[in-house]
Amino acid sequence: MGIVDTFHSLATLAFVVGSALVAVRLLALSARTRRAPEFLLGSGILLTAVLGYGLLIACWILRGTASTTSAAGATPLTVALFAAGKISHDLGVSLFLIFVMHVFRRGDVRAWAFAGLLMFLLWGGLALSVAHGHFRSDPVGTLGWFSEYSVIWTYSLWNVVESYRYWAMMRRRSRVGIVEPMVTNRFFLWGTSSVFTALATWTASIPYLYMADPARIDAITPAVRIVTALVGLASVSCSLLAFVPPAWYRRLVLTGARQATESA
Amino acid sequence: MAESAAFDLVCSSLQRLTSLTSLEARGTVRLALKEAGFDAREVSARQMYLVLKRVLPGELRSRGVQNTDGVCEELARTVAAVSEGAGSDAPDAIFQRMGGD
Repeated sequence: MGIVDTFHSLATLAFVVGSALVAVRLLALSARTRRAPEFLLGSGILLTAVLGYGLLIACWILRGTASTTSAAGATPLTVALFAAGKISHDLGVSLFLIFVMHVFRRGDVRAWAFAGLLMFLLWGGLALSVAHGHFRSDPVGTLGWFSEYSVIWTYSLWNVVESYRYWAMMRRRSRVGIVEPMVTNRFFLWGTSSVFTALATWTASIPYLYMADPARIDAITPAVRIVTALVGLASVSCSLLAFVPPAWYRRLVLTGARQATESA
Repeated sequence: MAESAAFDLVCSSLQRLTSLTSLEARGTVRLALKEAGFDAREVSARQMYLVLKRVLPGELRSRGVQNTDGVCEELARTVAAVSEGAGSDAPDAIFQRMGGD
């Protein structure tokens, strides 16, 4: 295994383990509070980053160099892993959308309609892809594939906009004496984590641009893997700092806020 | 989307205590909330109390409202009497809970 593959494997493992930590922490919280947001976000992370990517990566490892974009080399086991991975991932994406709606846009009929449209594109696209390839391969470039991926490439951006908007609002609250540095910082971290999530889906999709040129795909794959792994690590690091903040990070944020207040 | 109970209460009280119309009262309170980083749909009574104390007096003065301090004191007393259920589902309360603060 080359240095790129080793780095990619370790970074992916760190991403999955870090995401699992955040998901378990949020699901444990939801078991105590019986509140929907922590359940939606914890389940969303578990289904996309842990189960979804985990199963899809297992499928890629089993198929070796054979790409999932081709039906050649598919076995009943890889088809089952691919199906479970895709369904888990898309279910997680749906829960992310419901989380954003529930937290930031509850009662906003137009926003719910937009979320409904995104879910229709996501699941309708997957259904069309299944009809085309029966989970033996990812039918790149078909209508169903574009429909599904149009949501996968963009769903994080909605979270970015809402989280950064709320982060800006929280910063203005110091004017009325409400200073909640950890909560304010959490909106920034979650928005930034979502930026990196979007970047990771985009970089991982770059090879799809060269489907007609396998040699080019082979040439760019190492760079794509390194960038995707780095971006994934940045994403999960932000999630961990946001929802499982270590004591040193709390101290850092609180000290920074205190100094900013004193100098103002 | 519906505004919060605290927002509706303050707007109707402000309209009663001043010569502002309903539209003017709601717009003025909305601007004060925006300046302080709050959303009319989810502002709590506790948060509204702070806005009434620290931001709204200036907004009312800039609109030529008389006795702004007295008006804001009366509004603050009204909003302070509002009892809120335990556990808010506003985004800041949700993110506070999810971070274990």
